[in-house]
Amino acid sequence: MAEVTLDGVCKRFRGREVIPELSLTVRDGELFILVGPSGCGKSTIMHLIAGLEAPSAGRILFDGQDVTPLSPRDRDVALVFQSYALYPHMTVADNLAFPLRVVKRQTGLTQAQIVSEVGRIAELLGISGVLDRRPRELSGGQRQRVALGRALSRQPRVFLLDEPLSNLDAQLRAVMRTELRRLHDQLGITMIYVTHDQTEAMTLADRLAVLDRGRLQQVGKPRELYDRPANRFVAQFVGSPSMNMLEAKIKDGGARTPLFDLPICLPSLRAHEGQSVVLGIRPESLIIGDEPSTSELSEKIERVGSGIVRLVELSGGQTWVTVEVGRHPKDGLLVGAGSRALHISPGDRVSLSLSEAESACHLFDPTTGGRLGGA
Amino acid sequence: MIVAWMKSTWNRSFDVLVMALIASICLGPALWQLVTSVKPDADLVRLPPLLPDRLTGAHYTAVIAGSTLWRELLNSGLVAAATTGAALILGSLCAFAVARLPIRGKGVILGLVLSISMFPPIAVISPLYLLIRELGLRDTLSALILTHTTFALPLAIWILVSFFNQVPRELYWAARVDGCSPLRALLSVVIPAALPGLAVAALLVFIYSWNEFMFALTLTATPNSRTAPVAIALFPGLHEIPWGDMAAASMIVTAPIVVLALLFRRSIVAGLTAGSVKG
Amino acid sequence: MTPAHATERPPQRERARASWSLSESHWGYLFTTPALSLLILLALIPISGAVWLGFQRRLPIFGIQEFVGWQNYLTLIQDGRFWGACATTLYFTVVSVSAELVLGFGLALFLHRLSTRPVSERTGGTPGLAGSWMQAVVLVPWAIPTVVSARMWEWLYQPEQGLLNYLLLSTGVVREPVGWLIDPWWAIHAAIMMDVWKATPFAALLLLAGLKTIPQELYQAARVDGAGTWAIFRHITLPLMVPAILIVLIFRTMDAFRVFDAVYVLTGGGPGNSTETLSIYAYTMLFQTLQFGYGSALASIMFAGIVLITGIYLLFMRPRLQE
Repeated sequence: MAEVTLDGVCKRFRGREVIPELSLTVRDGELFILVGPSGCGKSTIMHLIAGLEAPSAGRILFDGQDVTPLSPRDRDVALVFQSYALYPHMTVADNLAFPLRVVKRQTGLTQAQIVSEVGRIAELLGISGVLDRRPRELSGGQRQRVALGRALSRQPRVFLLDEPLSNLDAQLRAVMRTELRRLHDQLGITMIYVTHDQTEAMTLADRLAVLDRGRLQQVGKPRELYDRPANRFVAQFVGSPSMNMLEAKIKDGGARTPLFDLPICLPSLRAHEGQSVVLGIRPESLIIGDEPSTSELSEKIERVGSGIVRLVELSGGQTWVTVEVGRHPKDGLLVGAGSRALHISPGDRVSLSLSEAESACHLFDPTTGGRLGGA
Repeated sequence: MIVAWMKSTWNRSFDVLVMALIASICLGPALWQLVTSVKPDADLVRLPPLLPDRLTGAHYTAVIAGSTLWRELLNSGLVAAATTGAALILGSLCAFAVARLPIRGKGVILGLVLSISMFPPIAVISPLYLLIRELGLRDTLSALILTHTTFALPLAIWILVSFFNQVPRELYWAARVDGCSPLRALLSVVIPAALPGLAVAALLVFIYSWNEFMFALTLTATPNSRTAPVAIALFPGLHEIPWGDMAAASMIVTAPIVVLALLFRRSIVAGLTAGSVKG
Repeated sequence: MTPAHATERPPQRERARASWSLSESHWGYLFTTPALSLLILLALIPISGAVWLGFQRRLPIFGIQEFVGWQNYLTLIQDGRFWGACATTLYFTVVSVSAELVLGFGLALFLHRLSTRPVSERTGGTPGLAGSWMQAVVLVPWAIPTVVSARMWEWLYQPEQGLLNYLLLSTGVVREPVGWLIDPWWAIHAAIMMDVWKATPFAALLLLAGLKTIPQELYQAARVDGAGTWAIFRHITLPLMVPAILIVLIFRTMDAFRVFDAVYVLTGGGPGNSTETLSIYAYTMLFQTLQFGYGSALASIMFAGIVLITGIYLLFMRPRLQE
């Protein structure tokens, strides 16, 4: 177990910067997730930590010790691949034992110890029944478990997982997510996990880092990223459906946007008087109601405008409603939340209201995309 | 309906006819050689009859008992086996480095390998002959193994690179992370995963070495190191070739290689294509 | 939870190991070294040696070894036998390679048809079975050692006892026995025929692999668009087969240009010098008259020829492949 630090790490491939410059610390025993759209350099970072690739500049430290010049075998890390990379010619037992056999000379493990260790791992992951099978005879979930087991069998200092669940179907993915969390808590091992799926990242991580084109956008606990996204990219990447973004101008302490009939007035907006901003509103804060009935509106809910329903999506307890707003058609499409009791269909006119406006509104700089002010 | 039936019948008959034609052209000469090898001498000097009234094993006994063919077959086997082993070991290492390791000059290596496979053997034979003589290796099996390995290496490397490239990169990485050195990763993970490719390379190298003629002819002088093709080419008979014995000898030399080729024809076709089309 | 083997490794040892542990690229150079040294030692150095020998007068049995500059080449230009060998080699190459390409293409199309034709309801059977058997049959000429096939054909070509003349005479195709290996005109064609027999399967298998890469949807789309068999072949199959055809041409041209064993065993270069290719002439100079200098000059010319042919093909290939 170890604390992992990337110190000014930079990676170029044939003159192209994949990772411009990255500094990051993963705490000892933490389940840390790197998340970002595909092609953002997540896997490259994993390879750099594992030692499969050398950084063009910068250092990588485990517990303060510089491991940059060490080859993968000397770093004592384990890596679970998206494709699992199980050795096709070996049985499950041999796959699990392989990392132990390779370092047998250094650790002085006996054959019996290896067998018992393999048994323990298989027990832990519930694959004792398939030990003598070959990888191609296993189901996707079993392969996944074997891949985890092979990584765990050597008790690595750092446990790296590169999109480990993306080859599984949705149901199995949820099961394995819980399982991974349980394994992590049980073993207390430092886990660094890469995924493009923000839901997975938000539900699983102790802390996570959002990456875009090799650059670190924000690091923090899931809640922090959700509540206070550092910029437009993070705001839109985290949360589902994605955050609504509206161009607005602050005037007289209210945010005015052509899409809404009424300005949104908040005390915190006064600091940006006269500025053009991008106003971010999460769909769950944008309440959709039947146009005529305004009786539901309580103090905390503030009516801001109206629009025409274009799409109604039921997602569990929530109803997501895509609404066309503005005077001209195609002015803007916003996604809001409707209550379960709401009965509307495309073409209906509905009202838009903000729930808890103070925390619902995020302001971003229209040019840099950075978060504005304390709001 | 009837038209369709007639059409399919016509198609089938056409196919069968062409297949018969191809088969007789491809197999005819070899089958005729087989017939010749069991014909009594008296039937060899005239045609007809096409087929003999009685079969004889005399030519086979004559070749096996009366010549050094068995020795030359043994030489061929030894040279081909050693060449296969050496070319596979050297070829795997080199092909693996080209396919998976971060080295400079991969293009140069592949270019060199390709151009050497294009060399006319006649262009290297004279200095090679002088070199081998200088080393005191003339008329030894080692001389043949060395040259055959050298000139089979391009083939082996070319095929192995294409097969190693098909082994997922992640398998190699997994082995490295699991604590293997590159050599160990190659031996215990990459090679087992690319075993079909190794088999293909082994077959093609073996066949090359078994059939090779110019080096074998030049670098050997006596039956001690002569290989089977050379023996066939230099078959005794000053003016009149003993065709029955010759046919028997050809059958013996050809049989192992044809059996090998037919048994592994899928691999061979895959290898011929991997070695060329992929390039 | 801590297993027996999870002993802490002292950091010093880690560092010491790191200092001598090879980087990936060092392993790479280490791995390529044995193969490359062998190739350099026994292929590159000899080829340079041949060029060097070409500038010498060297007769090992008389212990003669002297530098003569371009003299061997000047002699070559005036050597009628050399020009004859050049003409023979070119004729052999052009005729046999064209024949192999055309026949090989036909054979490949037929094999492809066997493997893709839908199973007829009446006969049942696996669609690929016939194709698979035919592939095996076709592989036989390729697998037979060249020397052996030369002997086989020599036997077939015998004027009196040979099967070929017997078949031609008894079916009335010819009146008199053909002097396959006796008549100079026939001898070169006999050699070409044998080469075609032996190498067409190789060409066909490569072309078949090329045909298999053409998606079936293209043919179906063309048929829906109303294209006939010839139009499909002309506008779909042929253009898509250009890379495969070029590969076959390169491989076959190289092999035909440097042909040695087939012709050497079949005719020995005769009758007269009518089938003497450059390889055979060079070999005769080197190992029968033991003129190492002159023979090496000849071999160097051949090497230059190969380089030239490769260059021409590459020139043709580059724009085609970029399309």
